[in-house]
Amino acid sequence: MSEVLLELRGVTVRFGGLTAVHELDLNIERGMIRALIGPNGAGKSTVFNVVTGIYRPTAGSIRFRGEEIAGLNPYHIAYRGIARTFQNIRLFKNSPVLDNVKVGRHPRSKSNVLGALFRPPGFKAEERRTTEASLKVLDLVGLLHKKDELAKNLSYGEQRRLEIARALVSDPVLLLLDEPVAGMNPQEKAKLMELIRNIRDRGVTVFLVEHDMKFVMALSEKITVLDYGRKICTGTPDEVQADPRVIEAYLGKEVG
Amino acid sequence: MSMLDDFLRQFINPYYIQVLMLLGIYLIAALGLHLITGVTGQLSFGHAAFMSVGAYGAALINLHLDLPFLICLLAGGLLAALAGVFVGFPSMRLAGDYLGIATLGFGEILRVVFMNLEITGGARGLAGIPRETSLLTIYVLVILTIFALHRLQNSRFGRALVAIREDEIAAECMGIKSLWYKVGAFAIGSFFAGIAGGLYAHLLQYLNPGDFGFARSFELLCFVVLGGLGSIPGTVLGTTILTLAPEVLRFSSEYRMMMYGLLMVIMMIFRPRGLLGGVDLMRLVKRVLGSRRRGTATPAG
Repeated sequence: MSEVLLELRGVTVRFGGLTAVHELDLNIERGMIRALIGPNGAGKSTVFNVVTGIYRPTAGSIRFRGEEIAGLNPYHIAYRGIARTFQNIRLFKNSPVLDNVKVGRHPRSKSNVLGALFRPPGFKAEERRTTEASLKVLDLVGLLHKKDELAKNLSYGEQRRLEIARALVSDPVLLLLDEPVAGMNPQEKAKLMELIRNIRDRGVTVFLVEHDMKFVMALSEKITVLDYGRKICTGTPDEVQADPRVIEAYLGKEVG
Repeated sequence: MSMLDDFLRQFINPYYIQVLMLLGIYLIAALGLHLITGVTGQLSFGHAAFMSVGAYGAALINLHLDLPFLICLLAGGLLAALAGVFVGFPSMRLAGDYLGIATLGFGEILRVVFMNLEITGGARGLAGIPRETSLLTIYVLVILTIFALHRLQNSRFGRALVAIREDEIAAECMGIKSLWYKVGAFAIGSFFAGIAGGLYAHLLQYLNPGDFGFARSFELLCFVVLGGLGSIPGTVLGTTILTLAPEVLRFSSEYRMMMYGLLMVIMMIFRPRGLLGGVDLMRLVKRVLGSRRRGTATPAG
């Protein structure tokens, strides 16, 4: 068994009377492509939001590389090596593509106000490293030729890939992808599958939430199914597809 | 009074020199607001209040401590920045309209405080400030302000501010501690307002709390919005147009606020991002030059 990178124990997220996630236990092993699926409203995005610090868990513990991160702020979590994309794309729309990616480099750079004003020797070198790293990931996701476009002028599929580039440039340990193929055509999906495998082969653990079953089953090594905020099962794509509880959650129970 | 001013006075009507000096002062204040509202996207209706902190601060230090003018000016700027931090920490947790209302309230509070303090001369105002501001000082500081803002915007700090304006949640997930960055932008923007205030005090030699009310704050916001949110050339253009236009259209000076209001409505309909908002001047220049070069390179016929 490989090392557990992210460990959720008894994580509950409640919004007023609504329990979005109920006592969830989940392990993400290092070096895997891991998926979280479930019908609409199952609480998948809530799991991402609680891992990245946008929500605080009502109860439970979240450990990343052995350290408790539940309740930390999003910016602290970003510094620890968790990067993410968003289901409803959240790019810096009026900024050029390259600048979008450069912002993603924030946790790996240091310059501050005084550095910006007085530009000591280290400033230029850091800016150069930021630019180089940004151009490299743009090349990886196939957007290098669009680097000067404004983010809002990219196509839907390109915007999703730009979000991945912006997350990757921080050299994350764990990459969370929230519905990465939503709105993509089959060719784009195939290319993205290749890209995600490529990212995993570079040593980044990938954890994704996705609605597209064909995509999830072909890509992930291990899947967890969530329904009404509760975990139904965890297993390989074949095991999950054969599980009667999963079929029931998606298709409903046979009457009779 | 500098030699340049005396020299210019022989050729230019002193009244116009005065107008140019006021333009420079508004440029510095508006550029500060540009960082807060244009770059970082935080609505402020109280920018003139930070001008007043700098104005009273610099003037009182000059009157009571008799320090060199530039030191008084800098002290006024720093006091305004400090006020920015104090106002910023509680109010920067608010967003959009709510922040606007909070800054509006702060501005009014400060006006009333200056109106009632003994040391600021109360409602009579503060008189007897020496005239130390010169055209040269103002425009050297305008250039320094533009230079500093240009550097700030083209850095990790500046990119973080724009990211906050565009999507605060995404920015936080990229490791940006948004509250700190917003307060930072607020303090720096207030610093420039304070410098502008100090220059103003030592130009007009008399301060009245009424000079820095809501109308002035709104005026500054109009300068930034007209020119183009987030653009330094846009802010310079907007400030210049709106400062010089009333001088040209003297007859309409009573309708100034009405014209501003109308202008804002028209702008929001036709160019919501301002005249130069979203226009990259460098890229525009390159494109024009590029096409011209291509034009000459292709042989005719």
